[in-house]
Amino acid sequence: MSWAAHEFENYFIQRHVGLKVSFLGIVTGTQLPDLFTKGFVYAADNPAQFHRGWPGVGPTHSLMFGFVFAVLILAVTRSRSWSIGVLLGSWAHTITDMGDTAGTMIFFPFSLEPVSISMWKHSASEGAYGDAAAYYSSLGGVGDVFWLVVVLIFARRALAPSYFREVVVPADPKVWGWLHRRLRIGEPGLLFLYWGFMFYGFGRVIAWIIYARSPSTDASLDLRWGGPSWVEGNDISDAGFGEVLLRTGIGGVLFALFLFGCWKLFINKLWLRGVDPPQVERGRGLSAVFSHEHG
Amino acid sequence: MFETSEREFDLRRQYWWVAGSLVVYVILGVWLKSIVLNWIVGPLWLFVTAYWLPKAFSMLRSFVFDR
Repeated sequence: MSWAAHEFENYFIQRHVGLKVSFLGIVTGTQLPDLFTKGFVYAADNPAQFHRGWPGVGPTHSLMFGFVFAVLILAVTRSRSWSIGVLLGSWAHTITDMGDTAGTMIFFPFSLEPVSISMWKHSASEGAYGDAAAYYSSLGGVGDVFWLVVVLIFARRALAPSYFREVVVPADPKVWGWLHRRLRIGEPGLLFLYWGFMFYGFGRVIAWIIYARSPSTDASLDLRWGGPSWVEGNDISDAGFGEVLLRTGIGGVLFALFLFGCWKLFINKLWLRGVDPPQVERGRGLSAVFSHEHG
Repeated sequence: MFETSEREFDLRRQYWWVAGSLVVYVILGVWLKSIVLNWIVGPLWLFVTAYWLPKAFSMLRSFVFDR
């Protein structure tokens, strides 16, 4: 699993969607796959199988999971910006978690095959603290730092107070306005709430690295592909590369057909009755999601 | 949405609050891992320590000294 990468991704996505997507929707999406399940993962007999497999709660780490939530949000709230935010955030989480040895069943239920690049070990079997020590002794921790650097280089502007005021708030005026008026939180307070996930990600990276490198953990640094070697593999599939490729390919095609069918059947109608914040001008295709007006 | 007076807060002062809050967060995080480094406390930490607590302290001070 990835740790702080899921916090940093929020700002990277936000920078590329601008006014068209709610930041709070993105945050909800990136936290969604682990929200109802993470607390139980460390107590499971086989944490990797429970977390990412089927039977288990593995479907939470699939593209279908984010899609279902996004459609529900569009149907209930009519908010396009929240719906796309949840979709993008959830999909980003699912794709990022393909980095560990357990992988994710991205095309569930059309393929039950976990897809993984096995860059670092899924180490939940070590318990919460052992997982942290293993993760921040492996390329997983490097991945977190990589995402931090990516945000600071390519999405630095998304952290500016002016960006918050001119893009983030107008993209979601109802929720930020409610916090401002009803809870009487001034602009500095709202800005700190917006920065909260960046702060949390940065803080937890530093704190867990200090913990992982402390002599008390006995966790040696292992930055080889698939490390650290002192943790059991936790690979939940024994399929070969060709088999994974075939099953995932079929699953991907079926998932794409499913999305197309849903769009034709009912999502198109839901989208047309959906609403946007006043300042949003939405085009067609990908320009409906990605924004360049604040480049 | 925001009043002009709200916009023009002292950014330099805010950044010092953020840096100080981060140092305290990391120190407490290493010490009290599961209490501090979780999904609820973590994202709200900055808001509470750099906005809510100073505001509450300021209100308390004005309540005590302006009586």
